[in-house]
Amino acid sequence: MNLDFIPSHILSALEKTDVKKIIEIRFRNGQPIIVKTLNGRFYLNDYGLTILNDKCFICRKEHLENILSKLTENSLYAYNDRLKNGYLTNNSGVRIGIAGECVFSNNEIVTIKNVSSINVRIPSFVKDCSKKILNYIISSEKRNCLIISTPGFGKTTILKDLSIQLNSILNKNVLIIDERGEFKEVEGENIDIVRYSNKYYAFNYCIRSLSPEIIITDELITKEDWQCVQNAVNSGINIIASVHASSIEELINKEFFVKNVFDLYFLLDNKDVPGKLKFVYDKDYQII
Amino acid sequence: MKLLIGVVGVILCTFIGKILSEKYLKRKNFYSEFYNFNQKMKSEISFKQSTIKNIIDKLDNETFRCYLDEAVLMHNENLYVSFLSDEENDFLKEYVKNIGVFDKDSQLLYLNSVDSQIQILYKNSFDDEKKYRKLYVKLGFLFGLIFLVIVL
Repeated sequence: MNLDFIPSHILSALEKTDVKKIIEIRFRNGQPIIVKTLNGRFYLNDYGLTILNDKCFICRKEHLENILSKLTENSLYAYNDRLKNGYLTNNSGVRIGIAGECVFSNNEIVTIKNVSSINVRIPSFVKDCSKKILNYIISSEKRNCLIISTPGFGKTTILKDLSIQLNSILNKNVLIIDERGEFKEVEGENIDIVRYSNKYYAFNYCIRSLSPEIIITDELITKEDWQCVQNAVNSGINIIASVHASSIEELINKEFFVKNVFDLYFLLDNKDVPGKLKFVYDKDYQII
Repeated sequence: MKLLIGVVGVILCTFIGKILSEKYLKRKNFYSEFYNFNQKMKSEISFKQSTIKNIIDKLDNETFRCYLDEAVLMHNENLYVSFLSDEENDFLKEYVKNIGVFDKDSQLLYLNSVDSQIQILYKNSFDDEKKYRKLYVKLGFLFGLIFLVIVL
């Protein structure tokens, strides 16, 4: 995994730890650098992870600027469309969330300046983590599925594994709408990937040009997202998507939620085990 | 023997004159590339949105390419181009500081704002090269001739 955008002394401290267990690294201006791993939350010093916050690495403005200039290859204008949405993704699919001062013009965000926080989310690939969900999809032949959880429960990890499994099991054209470049490891003979496009453009352009039978997409948020999904389902395309919610009730009460689109709803259970299901609901929101 | 020494003197002085005039040629080529770079940046940002590294890699002038490599990509702030004046070096540093750090519209605005200044610098360097380069060679040759007369 390529983390070379992280300042060298911080990177060498990280390399003294088990990098595979790292979930995220948080840089906040003037605050200790925090590393979240499968074993908990730690600070970082020259020797690796520590629970003591004295003599730990403190994030400086230069660190944030350095990370940003490396991620944007010293060419912010080329990455600004992603930056203004609050994230960047590097070439190995590491998602970097960004907070700072938003600059607006004509009620539209133009860019983010004076970056004050950076959250590096390390992508994980857990083979077979989508097996339970896949079993439901295959056995019931109901392929409009929505994966539900709060952030950090591994929705994207499940979708990545699901894409690969569907590619090998079903002989159908699978389209992945990868808005943030997080599906970098995913490839297959039946898979098409559209990257860094919003859902509106990807759905409209791809249904006409790529004739997908299944569309996989992450995080339905806006009214347009839900409308795109509804239109695709009405066109006979199967949709597998994810959404942020902590329960089925919360989902149903969401402002832009559209009923009668999905056949199955999977509520994730455990933050540390991607793919563990709490409940599976049918189209009438009844537990199966 | 005296004639031989005199001729060697003429050749040597002309050669020194040529070497001293080289900075004008370097300066002209440097600004020519600087001007091209600024134009390329504007078109690449407007259409392809290529990264600065890609634009730098396509540059022909090695001095200018190496300068940008060091200054923009390696963030070296202590560079000094010997054949440019202090004022010109400051302008160059300011330029480097302001590329790659803005969104598309602001970046284009900045590049357009410095365009005429770069054009003037290029024109001046072109005129200087035309004026002084031949002069240095001629002066070198003249000194060589004086040396020849003295020797003979």
